Amino acid sequence: MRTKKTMIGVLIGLIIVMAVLAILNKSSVPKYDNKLNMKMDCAFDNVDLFEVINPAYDISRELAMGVEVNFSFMESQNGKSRRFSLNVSSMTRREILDEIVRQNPGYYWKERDGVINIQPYREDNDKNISPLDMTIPCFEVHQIPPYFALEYLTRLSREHNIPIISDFYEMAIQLGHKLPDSSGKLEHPENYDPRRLIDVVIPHKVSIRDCLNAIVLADPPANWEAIKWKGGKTRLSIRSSQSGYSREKNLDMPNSY
Amino acid sequence: MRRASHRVFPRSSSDCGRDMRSLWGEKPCGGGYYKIKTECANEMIFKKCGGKCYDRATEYCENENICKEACSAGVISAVPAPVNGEVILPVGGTAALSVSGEKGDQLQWSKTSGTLTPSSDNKQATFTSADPGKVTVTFGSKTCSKCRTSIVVAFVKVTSFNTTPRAIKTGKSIKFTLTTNPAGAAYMKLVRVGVSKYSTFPPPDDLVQGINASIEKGVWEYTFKEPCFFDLYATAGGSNEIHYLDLITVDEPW
Repeated sequence: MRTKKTMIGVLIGLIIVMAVLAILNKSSVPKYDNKLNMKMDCAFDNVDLFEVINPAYDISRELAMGVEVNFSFMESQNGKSRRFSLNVSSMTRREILDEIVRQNPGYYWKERDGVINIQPYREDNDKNISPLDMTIPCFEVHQIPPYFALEYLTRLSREHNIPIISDFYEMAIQLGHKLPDSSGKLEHPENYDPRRLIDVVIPHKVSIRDCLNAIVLADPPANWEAIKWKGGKTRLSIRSSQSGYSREKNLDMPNSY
Repeated sequence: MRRASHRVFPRSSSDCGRDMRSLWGEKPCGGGYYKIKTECANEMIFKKCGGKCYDRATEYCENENICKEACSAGVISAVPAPVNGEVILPVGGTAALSVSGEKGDQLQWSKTSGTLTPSSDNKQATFTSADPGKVTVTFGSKTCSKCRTSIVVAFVKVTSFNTTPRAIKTGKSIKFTLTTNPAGAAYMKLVRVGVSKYSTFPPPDDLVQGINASIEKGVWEYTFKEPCFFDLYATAGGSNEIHYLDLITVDEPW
């Protein structure tokens, strides 16, 4: 009799535990899924994938994104890249991303640690690994703006023979100016809006792609883009759409014109 | 047979009224009767205002509030001076308001939002807001519209500053778009565009000059002949809220 009561008690307890677990499981829908299920309007007018990263476009403003394209900057400028248009209202972000890649065959999107990555498919037998999938031993920056973090990343990449370059670095070389600071540290942090300073710590081997994702995730909403450049290199850019106040003491206020 | 008991009624109705209609809360007046609880009577019967009687010669009733006929909220003047009836300031800026010609009781300053600080004599006030948009500042009676005057103060903030595209080669053009809250050419005039001092390779001078010279347009297109890499900002001035463009690249073709 006592044994029977004990068994019934255990059975009831098990049922309760299973019910609680079932409820918890149902309510733990990944937070990012909810973000992608939100509806929004989206309009692109005759752009290519490289031009999608722009805070002028709602989706680029709303989501942390990174786009790697397999055409060159000059192909984009000369109208030789595939262009598309999109004008939708009240569509989920997931559906908008599906539509973007649908209009750009050869590309897919996936969410990686909170950042939407759009990138080209690679054939299984393609021996040309993307520079973004090459790795560095670690990546760590503290309290610097995102574009300085990118300069530090490109310096580390050069040291490891990864063929990437930043637009800032490229411009300095082109115009014969002083190279941008790639020390990973700010000389005058008091001159910067603290809201625009980020910290990224990855103490283990990491791909360039994951470093870029970590940078934009630390400065939301921000995006990165990678495009083929001359000399077989890949040029990287970081775009932040965050407006912020300036604490610059010597802000050059233009005169009335 | 027993006779039924009954009351004896007086013969005159006026005698009747004083006794009977007072039971119903009524009093005689000029041949009629008025309800004591809800009406007043002097030369004529009229409804109470907010439960009170008032002097119809010098007062009137507005929304159950007794207002004086002889009142004037005066005229509000402002620094900076209004443009088309509105004072236009950047968010965080301060309007200096003053009133003259006011007359009446309990005249006071009020506003729909923002922070208003009256002077001790109530004839002046400073007004500011941390939020963009239009705010109405009123001087006068809170309850009597005839004794009230208002002025609109618009606080302006840059809400977006974008280009399409963000990277081009020389010889191509970029479209710049700038919006404010409130929106409109009158508010855009407060905006100034400048080059961040961290733009190592600044854009051509005529780009920024051109934008500032025609700021009311809100949209500009510029063709770049030289490579540059810049970071513009736009501000309505006065506040420290500055909207950045954040790195535009113009490259040489190869």
